[in-house]
Order: sequence, then structure tokens, then C-alpha cells
Amino acid sequence: MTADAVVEGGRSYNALWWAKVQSAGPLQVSPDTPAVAGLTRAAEPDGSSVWMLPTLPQGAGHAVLEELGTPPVAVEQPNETARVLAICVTCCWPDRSGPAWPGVVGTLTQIKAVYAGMRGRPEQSSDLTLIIGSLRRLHATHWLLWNEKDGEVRLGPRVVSWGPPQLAGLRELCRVLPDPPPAVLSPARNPEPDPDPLPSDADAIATATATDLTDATATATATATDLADAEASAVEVEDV
Amino acid sequence: MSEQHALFDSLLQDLSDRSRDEVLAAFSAVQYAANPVAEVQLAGLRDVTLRRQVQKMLKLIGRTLVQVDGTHWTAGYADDVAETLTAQGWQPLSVVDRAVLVLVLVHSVAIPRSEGILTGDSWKSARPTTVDELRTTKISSEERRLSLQRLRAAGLIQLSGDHSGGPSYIPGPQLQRLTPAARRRLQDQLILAAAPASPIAEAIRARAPLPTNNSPT
Repeated sequence: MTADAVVEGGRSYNALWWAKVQSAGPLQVSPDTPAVAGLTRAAEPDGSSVWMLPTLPQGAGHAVLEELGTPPVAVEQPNETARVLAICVTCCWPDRSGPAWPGVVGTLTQIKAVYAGMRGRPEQSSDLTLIIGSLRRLHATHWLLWNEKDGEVRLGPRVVSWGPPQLAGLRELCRVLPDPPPAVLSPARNPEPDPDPLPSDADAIATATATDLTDATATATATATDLADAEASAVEVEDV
Repeated sequence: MSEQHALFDSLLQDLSDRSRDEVLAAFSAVQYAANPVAEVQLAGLRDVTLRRQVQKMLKLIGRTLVQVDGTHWTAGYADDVAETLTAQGWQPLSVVDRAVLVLVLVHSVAIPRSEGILTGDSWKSARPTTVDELRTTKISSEERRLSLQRLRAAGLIQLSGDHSGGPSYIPGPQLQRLTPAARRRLQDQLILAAAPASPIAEAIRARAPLPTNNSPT
């Protein structure tokens, strides 16, 4: 690529940023990162960072796929996933006269309560498997920001793409869902960092794998950039 | 979504309403459909002039049209963009996900291709990779399960229809988004990994001093 790759606002500069948000999903960057044409920004509530995510012109997007009968990459457990997204919207969007982003922090306890209420029966242990699976799926696609360690959830940066028609539909959905109990959040984070901040199994395995499968993983390095397409796995809000 | 679009408006504003609709439909179809779409289905792909507009839109966002089987189209990352991002160390997939993906590609494509069962340079294959073939002492079963879930969600692998020996996997639809140069890079690197001392690996190294820097210039 030529030198204009680094020229802010240049064509190659825009193309590289777009390729990044398409391959990895919305990106969290420093607030002083220059604007990129066509990428919208969602500021974190504390102003420490912003998310960048793509916007499309009117008439472009997933809607055309249905007309053509050509489905997008399938979402696993689509109904359960959409239900959990709807429940999180109910828990995390208390001021429904305003935008959904950034909303407030909700808890797993709230989600379980609304889920059981929606089913019209007491909470069951099997609910948790379905709920956690859906939360992970929605976190991976940036519809939610799910903190599994603390059991807390927020709406993800993708919700900034919801316009007035979507928000109107979601308001109606929240109205018919049971009201969540008040959130009991985990105590304020200890300013002292955890002395052993989760050297997770994943890291250990990744290290071992990196050593022993170096060649194989190197093989995929270049290819992954060609392939990974987080957009493809995005859950459509229309499914809710 | 807004009426004005900072990136695409300069391209779209010169088109008639009808052409604009056709171009946006074709753009959306190649970008978001899981599988390549038939050229015959969309005027934006059938008509060479409109297709050129689709290609211009894709170029603005680092993508390019990829033709599949002569009659279908999809979109993938433009070679120069993939090359630049790779050189910058951009890597959206974890090392475990990449390892599991490569194991599926080895069993479903590379081995059948070396046996002459698969021909051509496509990474599409009906030969399933069983869970047994994915077992390695380096990745725990839980980590493998989560990785398979992520790779399925991204469309990089998919469940095969053959359930006779438990769940098994084949390459996912996203592999069809690889450009010809990207398909060759993947093939070259699998050879370098599987048979680094072979004459063909020597030839690949001679052609491209760096494994990730071998797209045509």
C-alpha cells in the first residue's frame, strides 16, 4: 500500500479502518483518534474511550437478503439469543425517552428474574446455561458488553445504530416484558489490582499452543485477516 | 443509518434512483449473504456498469468483488488491505481459534487435495473433519468447544451433514470470500507448515522471501 495509507482521511486510511471494524467488530479507541468517514462513534460514559462502528447508506444492509432469499451467516439459538438481548434492553435502558447507548449496568440476577417472569414460572437452573450462552454470543458480536466475572452486563456499542423506528419497537417490547428487580451491583472495584489477575487457562493453552503449533498458527495468520468477518455473525435486531 | 453518508455519497449521488437501489442491493448481498449470490439474481451484478459501481463502493471499505464458480459473486478483503493489516500485526482471531481452523482446513481440504480427491484452488470441501481429528493435547476439550463455537458463529467452519460418527465440521462459507491471491497464500503456507523441507516448499520460499509477503505486486 502506498504512503497515503497514513494520510488521515485519505482513501487508504479509511479503507484500513473499515477493514478493521469489519474483521474484528466495533473497535474501542482513544478519544483523540481522528474521525473516519462513514464510521460512527459511541463514547464510553466516562469519556476514556470511544467505539468506532460502521454505518451504511439508507437502502443498504441485511434487509435486502430476505427479499433475495439469501440468508446471512446463521446465529445459533436465534430465538433464545434474541430473547436475552430483549431482556438486557429492559434491564439496561431505564430512560426510554432517550437513546439506548450507553444505558446502565444490569446484573445476571435481573436477567434471570425477567427470563423466568417471561416464561411465567419460577427460575430454573437450566435457564442459566441458555442465558450464559446467549450473553457470550451477544458479547462476541458487541450487542452487549458482558462481564462474566462480575455477572454484570451493559448494552454494547452496536446499539448506537438503532434509529427511532427500532427504538419505538423496543420500547413496546420493554412494556410487555416483566419489570426487572432493582440492580444490586458488585462493590466498587478495589483500587489495588488483583495480585493474580486471572492468568486464564486460555492464556496458558494459547502459549503452549503457540509453542507447539507455531507453524500451523503462522499459516493462519495472514489468512485470518482475509477471513474474519465479525459482521457476518452480528445478530439482527429485527429478530427480537 | 442516515440520509447522508460521508463515505459513499460521492459515488451514489451521480446515479439514478433505480441504479442506486440496484447498486446498494448488490453491495448488501455480496457483503452480508452467507454464501455467494448468483449474478443472475441482481442487476447490480449482471450489468457490468453497475457492477463497477459496486466494486468502487467495496474498494472504499477495503473490500473487493470475488467471483465464485463463474456465475456467483461475494466480497472479500482486498489483497493490498489484507497485506497491510497483516504487516501491522492485525489479528482478530485468537491463536487457539487459528489452530482449530487450520486443523479443519488440513483434514477437509489439504489432505483430500494432496490425494487428488479435491481439485482446483477452492477451500470449499464436503470432506468432514471429525472431533477426533481435532483432538490435540495442546488444546483442552473445553477450549476446543468454545473455539468451535466462535468459528461457527463467524462462518469460518460449519457442521457437516454427516453425523454418523458424531459432530464433524467442514470449512464455512466465509472461505469462499478469499481472493485468488489469498487462496494461494493459504495453500503456500500450509505447504510450508506441513512439509518445510520439500522441494515445493523451497520453491515457495524462493518465490517469496517472507511467508506473509507473497501476494502479487
